[in-house]
Amino acid sequence: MNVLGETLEITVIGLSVVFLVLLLLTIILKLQGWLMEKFFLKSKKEAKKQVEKEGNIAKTEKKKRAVIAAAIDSYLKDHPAGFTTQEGRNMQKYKIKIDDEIYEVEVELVDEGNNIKSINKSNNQSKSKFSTISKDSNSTTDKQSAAKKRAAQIKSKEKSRTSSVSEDDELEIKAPMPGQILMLAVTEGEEVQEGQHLAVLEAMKMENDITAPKDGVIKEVCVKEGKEVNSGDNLFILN
Amino acid sequence: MTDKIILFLQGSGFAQLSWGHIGMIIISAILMYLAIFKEYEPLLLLPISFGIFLSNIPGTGLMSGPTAKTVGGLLHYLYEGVRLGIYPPLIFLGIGAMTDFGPLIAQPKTMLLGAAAQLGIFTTFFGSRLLGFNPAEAGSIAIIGGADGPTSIYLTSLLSPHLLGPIAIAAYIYIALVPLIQPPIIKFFTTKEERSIEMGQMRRVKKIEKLIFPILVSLIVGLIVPQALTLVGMLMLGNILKESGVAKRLSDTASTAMINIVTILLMLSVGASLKAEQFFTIQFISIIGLGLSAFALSTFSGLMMGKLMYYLTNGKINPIIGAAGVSAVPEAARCSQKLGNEANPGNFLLMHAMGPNVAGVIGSAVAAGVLLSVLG
Repeated sequence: MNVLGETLEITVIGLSVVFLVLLLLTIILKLQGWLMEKFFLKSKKEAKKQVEKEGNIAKTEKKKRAVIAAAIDSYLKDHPAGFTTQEGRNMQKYKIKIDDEIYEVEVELVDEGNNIKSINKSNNQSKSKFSTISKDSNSTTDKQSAAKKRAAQIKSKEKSRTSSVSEDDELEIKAPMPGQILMLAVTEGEEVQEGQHLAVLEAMKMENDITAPKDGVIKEVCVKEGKEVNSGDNLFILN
Repeated sequence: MTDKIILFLQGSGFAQLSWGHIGMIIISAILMYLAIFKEYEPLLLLPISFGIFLSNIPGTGLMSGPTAKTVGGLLHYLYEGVRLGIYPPLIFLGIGAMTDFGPLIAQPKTMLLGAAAQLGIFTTFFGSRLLGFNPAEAGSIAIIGGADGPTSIYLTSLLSPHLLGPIAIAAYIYIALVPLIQPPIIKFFTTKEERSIEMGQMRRVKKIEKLIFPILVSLIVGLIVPQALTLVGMLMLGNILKESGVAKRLSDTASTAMINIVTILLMLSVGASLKAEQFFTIQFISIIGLGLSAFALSTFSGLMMGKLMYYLTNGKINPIIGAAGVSAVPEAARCSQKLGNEANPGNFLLMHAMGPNVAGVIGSAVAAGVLLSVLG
């Protein structure tokens, strides 16, 4: 009976110590994860977003200004308006409104051409000055066409973005775990049925079948055979 | 002349060959067959079986210690690494350099599954005592339920070295048999609906978290169970070498060349320590039986904890990852993945099962530390 009691004691002590240690670790890890989420990750994410946002604004501003410069240039070519003399220079001022934002443009007439001196955004209280765009009459047409092209590019980009958003029936099939794509069983444009094998993903020396979650057409194959993928990477886009 | 011939013959193996030696050589042949042709854990079983084979050829003195006339056999000195508890922690160093604790850090609650799956260790301790083993022996047998080879060898070599061979063999046999032992138990205690639960994507773990983890675990384990720090400390050293990314050469060596070298030495020594008088006994048979029950109970208790979490989280946790709480990395996690995938082809549990799986390694090392401090 003594033996039994002693054994039981050891069993209870042992189990509770194992649980205690791992429970303590669980709690600390949970806390650590929570702290990470709360402060570290979030602030970083926000900062990143902020930078991205600012970058985007600067980019669109630049494009807008290029379009303005091109527009004025072409306008002046058709209407060689009289320039008034200001402080010994031939200057002319324009106001242009784009998307509710008013830009002030100063143009200076130099020999054989126009020189766009500055483009100022005036809806803001503090006028942000844009770098001077100077032009020679010879290269005007080139720049113009380049600016136009750029404007066209912006438009087309916007278009493509909206078109990708509008197709809402798409389903991204993601890698469930990190590993290597051993084999692809389907190609782009192929029709698949629910449960059909799409690929073999090897992880931890184990081959896993990736199957189609629903009927559809493979719109895009995002990986190649032999490629290493991370958890959450897109494998296929199913339509 | 005839005298000399007789003397030579007496010194040769044939004269000293006993039925025990013959029996062990046959056993080693069977193990070699399993390793080579059936590929049951050949990396482990092959050196073990050859160790048994070598040490059971009589008259070689490979395992005998130094005497006044001789310096002692090679295997005797290699065995010192086992006797002093050096090889298993070195293996842990390599395992640490191979293990990604990310899934565990992303889902800390799976740590508890690794704790629950150690229940089998202690119930088997109870059972072994009832069968008449002394406490030290019972502790060594029970640790088989931790399903961790190096831990079993480490504890046994320190508590009851005379059982080392049988316990190491039992432990590695059951680890190799995880894909056969676990599925029936899992299937019996869970429904198909439970097995088909998907657990979704895990959050990405920051590098800083992965660096804090080894230090944190070493500190806590070391403070609460100092005897477990030998194993856990080396495991975590290997892990920080890997995760820091600045000691790539060291972690590469630890996880490949070094672990391979130590595995050869360890397994050869373990095999060489097996003696006929230990093998053909009722003790050995009861060790095999107790080991199996330890394993099954650990799987069961891990599953039950998984079920509990399943109910507590309103079905977000798939209970079968609890069975991966027995260490046996990564066989147990693969087993969960296979069963989950079988029930639902879109279900990928492997990474989720790795959490409790690696927690099980820490859990069984802690359990070994506790047994060592209580029984040693």
